[in-house]
Amino acid sequence: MSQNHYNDREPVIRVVKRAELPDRQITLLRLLALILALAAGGLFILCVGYNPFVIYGTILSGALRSPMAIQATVKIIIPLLITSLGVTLAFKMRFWNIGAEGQIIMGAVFASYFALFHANWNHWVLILVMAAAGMIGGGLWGLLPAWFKANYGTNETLFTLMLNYKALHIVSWLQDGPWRDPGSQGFAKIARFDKNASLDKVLGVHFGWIIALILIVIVYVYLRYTKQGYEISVVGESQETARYAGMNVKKVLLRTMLLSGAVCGLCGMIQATGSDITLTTGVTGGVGFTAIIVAWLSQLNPVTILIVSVLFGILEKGSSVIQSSFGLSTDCADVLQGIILFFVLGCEFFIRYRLVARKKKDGGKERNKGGER
Amino acid sequence: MSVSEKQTVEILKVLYRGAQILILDEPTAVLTPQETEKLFAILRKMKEQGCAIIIITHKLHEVLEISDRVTILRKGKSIDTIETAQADEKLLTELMVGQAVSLEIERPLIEDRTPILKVVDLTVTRPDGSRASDDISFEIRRGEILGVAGVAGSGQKELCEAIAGLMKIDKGAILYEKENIIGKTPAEIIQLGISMSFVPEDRLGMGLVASMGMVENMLLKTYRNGRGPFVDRRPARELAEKLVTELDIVTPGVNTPVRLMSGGNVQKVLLGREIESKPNLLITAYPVRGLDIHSSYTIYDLLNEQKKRNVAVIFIGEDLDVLLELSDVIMVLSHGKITGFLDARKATKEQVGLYMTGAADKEVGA
Amino acid sequence: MEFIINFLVAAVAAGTPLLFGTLGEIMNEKVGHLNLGVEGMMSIGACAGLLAGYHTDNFIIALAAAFLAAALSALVYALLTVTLMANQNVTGLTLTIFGIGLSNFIGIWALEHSETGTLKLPEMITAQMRDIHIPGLSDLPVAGPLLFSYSPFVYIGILIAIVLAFYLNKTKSGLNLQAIGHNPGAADAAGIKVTQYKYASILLGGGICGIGGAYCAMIINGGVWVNNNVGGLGWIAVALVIFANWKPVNAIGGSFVFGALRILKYYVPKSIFPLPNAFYDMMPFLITALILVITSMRKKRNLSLPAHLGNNYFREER
Repeated sequence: MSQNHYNDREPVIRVVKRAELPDRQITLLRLLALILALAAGGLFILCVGYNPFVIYGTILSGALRSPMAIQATVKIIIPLLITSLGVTLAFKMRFWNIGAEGQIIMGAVFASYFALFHANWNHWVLILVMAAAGMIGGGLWGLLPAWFKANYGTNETLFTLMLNYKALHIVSWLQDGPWRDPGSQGFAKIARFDKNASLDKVLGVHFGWIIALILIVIVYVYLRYTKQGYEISVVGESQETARYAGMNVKKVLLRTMLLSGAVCGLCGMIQATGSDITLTTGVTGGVGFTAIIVAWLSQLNPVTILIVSVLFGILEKGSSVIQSSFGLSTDCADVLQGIILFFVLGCEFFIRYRLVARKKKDGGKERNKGGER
Repeated sequence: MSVSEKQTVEILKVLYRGAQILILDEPTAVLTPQETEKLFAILRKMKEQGCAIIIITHKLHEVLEISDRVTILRKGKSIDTIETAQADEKLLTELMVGQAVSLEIERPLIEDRTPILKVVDLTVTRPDGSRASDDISFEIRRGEILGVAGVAGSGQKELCEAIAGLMKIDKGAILYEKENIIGKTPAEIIQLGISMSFVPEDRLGMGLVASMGMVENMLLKTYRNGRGPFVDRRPARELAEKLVTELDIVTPGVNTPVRLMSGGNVQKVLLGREIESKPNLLITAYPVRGLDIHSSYTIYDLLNEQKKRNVAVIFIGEDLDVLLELSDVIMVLSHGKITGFLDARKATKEQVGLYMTGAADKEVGA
Repeated sequence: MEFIINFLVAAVAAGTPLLFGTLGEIMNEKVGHLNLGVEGMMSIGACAGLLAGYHTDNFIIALAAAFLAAALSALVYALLTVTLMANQNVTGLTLTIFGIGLSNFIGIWALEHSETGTLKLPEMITAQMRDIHIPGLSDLPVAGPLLFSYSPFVYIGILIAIVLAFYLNKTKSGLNLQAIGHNPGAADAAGIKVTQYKYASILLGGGICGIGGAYCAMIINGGVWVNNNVGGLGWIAVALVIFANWKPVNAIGGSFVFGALRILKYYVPKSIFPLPNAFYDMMPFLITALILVITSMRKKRNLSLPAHLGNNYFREER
């Protein structure tokens, strides 16, 4: 093998793991990714024939232009925020809970039972019972895949995914049959909840936002400072190590998924009783999936989750405004969210790895493309 | 198929494809000295037939025995390539470490040795149904290093895990100060003062959490201490800082993820933590795997220090030279069975090798 | 009798988009990539197929457009997970959200920019993809409707499945590809070009999903634009891969069985089985979950499951 031949075969760019980057540089890199994503989104908007600056401007002003708009934006943020916190618990343990949708629905179903059939209870007792029911509903729906994972190693990604649709069809069955509103003609739906069974408003928005803010603190403290939180991160990192340290991995798995599902279930209760004031198949609004993006974008950090949720909330509310003013579909928000995550996912690579260009040896061949720094 | 047979298949596979260059990465880790000889015979024959062979190994005597030229690597850099004929162990070591080192391992003799752990008829089955430990019985005393020899996969890992309470035991008893610890949870066993620092194939796989810093790793076994739902990180931080100064651990900070630290420093963190828990029994497996010679000797010193403090040490090793120099007694495992106990002060490498194949009795009988 | 034949024919028609989705996902999972973006790739294929068909009035071009557009979206996934080693679950999920959003966005935009205000496929292409009719064969009793009465999509799907099965099991390249899903490190060491294979397989899989999407838009929804026109079929396809045990030929039967489950509610007499519709809708998911649990309960290792599924491969991290 001649020396020259060897050089020809050496790749132009090689990937190597890098040592930890300083936090500031990581943040900078992520911001850069976000800006690039917005630029790419702008390019997309330009392609459809609109001025990206105008569109972005409208999104921002549309979401925040008036107290009413802000209230609507907050209403979008609440479920996103709570669900993201819920899946974060599971993701921290590297348990791929793709089932937030189903857990939200089951929480809403459990809570709705009391809203529909015990609406005459004392208001605060009813609210508390509904919240507990929602948490139990979501928790049990989360416990199921965890139990199978713990005992048989059943793949949780696919199992939780299947559970979403089962929950969805449970609701469509309820509204078709047992819980169908007799007052609705022809169209199958569940009756609107009694006012006594709906969440009170604080500053114009149902008080789910207060619960969401409290949950941020709870989840943050739980993951960061408690023994159980420590167990979650060790189990997530290596189950072998967790066993070695004397942790009961099964127990941690079940407990964490119960909690993760419970938080999502609580979100379902809040959506049904605070936002929709009834139970529909659309109770989640796809939040269970978007929350996964939010949690991942936020590096599973509860405080960052708040920021990203607000960003996504603005994007979504703003998109409904550009629909009314420019006739562009609200799906614009999904597209932009997708682009942002694609870019941030891509940028993670540059945080963890470094590109090394081939050393200059035989002049002409050198192409130092793409190598950062 | 045994591991050595699998390896033969692997080599045959590349030869069948018509390979001209053969690269072997630590091929002898799974072989007894006798099997190693056979492998080397094959390699020599291949060399005669015109094949080029690269063999990566940390066993210096193998380098000297088989190679024509040797390239020394240190921290990802090629230090030198020399003719093997002009090299000896001392020179190679110096090139590897970058400075002269003594190759003597100390072996203090503790007179008063009281038994601490007794394993009786222990039988353990792996998840795939094969026997990992087959009717194993042995005893270990305070102030003694029990070396465990055997080719990789002879049941060392499962033995450790069985003692630490991590494996289901089919049959037998493990008596720790006359109390049977079978059925106790790993957490209870840790409380008793049995400490295992197992270093599996992947150093960070068990014992340390790779993405966590030293402080968080110090908590691994003690996080339950204290009442209430919260973790107290202060003692862990103090312990981490203490280890850094006492063991000369090189790290940018006690919160730097341990995966970013060098192998030797990671090992110091792991062993340091286990020693600080003041165990009565310290189980350590392949603690010097992948370490440079300098770090290896630091580890041997640490183990000897524990022995002098009347701790019982189980040392699972792969380098027979080290086992013979460091241990008091050597227990040899083969296919999950104990094939022999040897006095490490008198035994030879060939004897240990013979027991490793499980053929010793037969040969003696013949 | 005719009732049963009608049912079976409808099952095949309902199962066809699933067949494409399943085959596409099999090609992803064979190289170790669990791509949760099937729904998104199908949506993009649906949008591209319908628009291309609308503008060119040519069935082949519409298929090619669906394939290429979906393959392009798979390229994003491949770039992120293969080259940039991003998390597969999150990337796939994003692809789904992005794909549905993008296709809805473009669909609505095209709808509003169309002259008539509708996006209805023109006559010629509709004729090209109509259920085939072979004189003689299609008129046979029983066999005629069961075998020779479907849209060309059905035959294309079955053909792709058979070709893939042959490729995966009978050619060297196909075996190489499967080796990557089981042990990319060993495959790499054996000189197989892991990255190239992964890209090729993921792109091909994405393209196949896209054709399934085109079926949704052009046949199921009658050739007019409807939002969310894939309607969750992509997720069923992900589940079907398990049901089919990662085998393309099994995917044919599996898709038709699931197709039958989807239409069962219209055929089972309510007077005999008074089960709610939702129960039938739930069936595919219930059965898949059961299969998941049963396969995991069996102690024996499943040899069809690509052992490295879900894990990215970084050469220097062996």
